[in-house]
Amino acid sequence: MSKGLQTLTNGLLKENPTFVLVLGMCPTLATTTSALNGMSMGLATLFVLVCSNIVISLLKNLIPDKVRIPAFIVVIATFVTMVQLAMQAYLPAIYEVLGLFIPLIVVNCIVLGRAEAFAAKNSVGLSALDGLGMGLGFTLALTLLGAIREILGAGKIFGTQIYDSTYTTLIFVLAPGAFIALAYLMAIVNKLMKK
Amino acid sequence: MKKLESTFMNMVLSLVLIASVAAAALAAIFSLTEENIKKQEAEKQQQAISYVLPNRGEGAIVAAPDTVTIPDAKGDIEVVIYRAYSDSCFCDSLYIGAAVQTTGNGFGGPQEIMVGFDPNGVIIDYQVLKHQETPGLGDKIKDWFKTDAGHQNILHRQAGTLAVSKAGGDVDAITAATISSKAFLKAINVAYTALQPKEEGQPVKAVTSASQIHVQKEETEVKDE
Repeated sequence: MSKGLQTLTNGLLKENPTFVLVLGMCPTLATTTSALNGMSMGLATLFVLVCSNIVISLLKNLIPDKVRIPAFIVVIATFVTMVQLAMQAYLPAIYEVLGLFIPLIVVNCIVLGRAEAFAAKNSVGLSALDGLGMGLGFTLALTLLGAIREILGAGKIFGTQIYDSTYTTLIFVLAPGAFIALAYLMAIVNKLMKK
Repeated sequence: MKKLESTFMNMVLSLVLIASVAAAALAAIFSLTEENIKKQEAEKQQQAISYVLPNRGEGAIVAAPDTVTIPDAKGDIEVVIYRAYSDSCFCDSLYIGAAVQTTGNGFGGPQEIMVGFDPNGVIIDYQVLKHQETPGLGDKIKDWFKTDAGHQNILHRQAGTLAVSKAGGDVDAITAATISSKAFLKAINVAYTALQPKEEGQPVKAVTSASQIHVQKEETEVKDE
């Protein structure tokens, strides 16, 4: 059981997909313009990551090595499309917020990376836990980055104004701000981890 | 079970199998959700029509929709007009405004917009029905043009010649989403053009505002994928 727990917590800090593995930078930089956007992207990815990890782990012996990448991508893309359709039909309110992010998940290399590095070699249970841990780590990182950019760039946190928007630094909402904030966050996390 | 060898046959079989199962699963989900999605969209459209009409559509009787095709350099734009009257006789004197569904050629794909006009062509309100603009940048079209700040509000303004300030107009574009903003304003102008009564035998003139001419120069929107 301790192995399961270790797998789950691995993604949160020790192998955090954003700060340590540095995977999935495109959605990280592009969608963290606010804390809510970051969290939405994180949660959508979490769901796909868990599902694709389970299915790929189940199919791992059926897929010959040389065609594993296209096979994985088909599985992931299928899940993403299914999530998108189901959400659009039954949860229109959530789709309003998350809808734009969903197609972005197919190209997120964390999903493919975990399929390749973990789900293709481990049992179904462990793969599900790994997906959950990595997904939570990703969500945490994106929410944090989004919150920092929102506070500095728009003077808001989760949409609530906390100080006058006259004093905000617009660059943090734009692309360069994403790189700056991410770099500082990474430096801080690395410093804390070394201790 | 032992892992399958990477022989040609195995690879073909496994990929065909996975792709067929995936296709079947998607087809099943699609047919299951299709009806619901259509229903949601129709509801949203109905709700948007009354939202953009005068007094939020209270007491308005909407006539059967009227589809107008506006020629454009990037393909014809279909505009659907829902004229509203204060009585079911649909007489011209009781015309109170119209909700117009128009499409903008946005940065990430088509922007479907419902915009309401009073009989003089003044914008009452708008709602974005569907769009694929960049989250955090272009997706601000939902509220940007109805927020009172600087010169960004277009409500209660005369439509037809709206353009962003970079293109010689006086509407502030969304920061870092100029293309989305231009597409949006053009869609509103197109809606206004479609609403104008047609002269016999003359095709409706395409909207060629300053916003089109300058589009080449400033491809400034940030997109990161």
